[in-house]
Amino acid sequence: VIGDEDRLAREAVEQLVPAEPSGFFDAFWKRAAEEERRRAQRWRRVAVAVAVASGVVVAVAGVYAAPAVFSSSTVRSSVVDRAYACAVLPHGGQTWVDLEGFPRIPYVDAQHNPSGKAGPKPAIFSLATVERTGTDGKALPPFSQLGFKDVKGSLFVDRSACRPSPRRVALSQAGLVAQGAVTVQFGQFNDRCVSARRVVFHVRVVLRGGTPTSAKVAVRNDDAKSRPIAYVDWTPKRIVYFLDPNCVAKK
Amino acid sequence: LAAYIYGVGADVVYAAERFRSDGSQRALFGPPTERARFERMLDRHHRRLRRLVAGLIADRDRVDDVLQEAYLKAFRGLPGAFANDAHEATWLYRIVYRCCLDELRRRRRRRESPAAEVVVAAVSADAQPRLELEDAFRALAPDDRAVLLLVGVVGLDYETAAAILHVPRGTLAWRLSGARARFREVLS
Repeated sequence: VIGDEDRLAREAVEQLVPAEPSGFFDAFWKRAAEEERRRAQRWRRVAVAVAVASGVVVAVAGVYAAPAVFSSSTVRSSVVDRAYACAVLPHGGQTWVDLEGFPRIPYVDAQHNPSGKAGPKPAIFSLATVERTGTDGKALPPFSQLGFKDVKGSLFVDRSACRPSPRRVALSQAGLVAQGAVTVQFGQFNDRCVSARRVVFHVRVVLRGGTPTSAKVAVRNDDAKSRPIAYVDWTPKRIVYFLDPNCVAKK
Repeated sequence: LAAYIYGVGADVVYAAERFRSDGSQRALFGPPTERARFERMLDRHHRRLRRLVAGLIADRDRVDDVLQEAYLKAFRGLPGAFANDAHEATWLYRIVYRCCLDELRRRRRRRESPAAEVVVAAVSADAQPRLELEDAFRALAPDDRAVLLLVGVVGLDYETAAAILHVPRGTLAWRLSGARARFREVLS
């Protein structure tokens, strides 16, 4: 056996090798063709799946991006931050300003709704320094010198009575008395405050698509002492206000 | 005829196959020269590869399947060109060798063994020495069989065989010596 292992191995292998089937290569090429076809199908499926997935991703991205695009193009936010000095019309030698505010009420019947229609009543804030009346004693418009509602384009400043002021008025309740918060459940406020012959107010209104969504208003006498009169933190659902202790609620 | 088929005629054969009416041969084989090249390569190595597979897996029923599987892999990854004949042989033999190892692994997982004993029981007494030789070869470990097959049966040089087994030349020589010794031992 020694030195003869390779020959013996060859003999052993010859016994292990089966007879070659006649159609070995035909079968092989057929199998190769099948394999190739399957691979092509697999790639086609993968390509279709990738295309579908890409489409879905693009669609989803479009859906998510749409509101952002919409909001940025059509529902723009802006802030109005101004100070105005307004004349205060004396009444029998006294000067005062009227402040009024109420939140949005979801439903009010037509009789009690300023719009004359049943439905929601918009939230309002108004500051009146000049009350004009006609010969019949009825108030004449403009009814306020600063006013806004949670309605598009409602921000109003009476430029006939008010002028832009360079004075800086802090949007703060310092020196005022907290009057609480007005919500849908807790009505409204309508107060009259004694003032100097001129007042200055600082208003900062956040508008979304032209509709006031929040506002801060600070009112002071426009004189040497510059005593604070009112500070109002307004949103359509909740109004927090601070007044001078001498202010009185109007009937 | 062979020259015609393997030469320029391969293109014509390929084209004819692609447009065969039964559709079975209309696969996209890639460039026709690839098939011709692969056929020429198999023509050079097929007989020896068949012995290698038969000796390594030692299961007559699986030889053709394993070979076809290996050829499929080889055809799929056929390089554009080989540096030389040794490179070509190393590449092809290594694919076949690895397919054999896969087959042995699969068999181990299935806990199957080739039905050699059944064959022994069915043959006549005068065939006994040949079966003993076959059994002795089967009794060797696959690593021993591989090295004996590549060098002793197929007749490859040490460098090529070492490259196929992914071992240094010295390791191959050492393994070959050990395999021969163990074969001798089993036979005696």
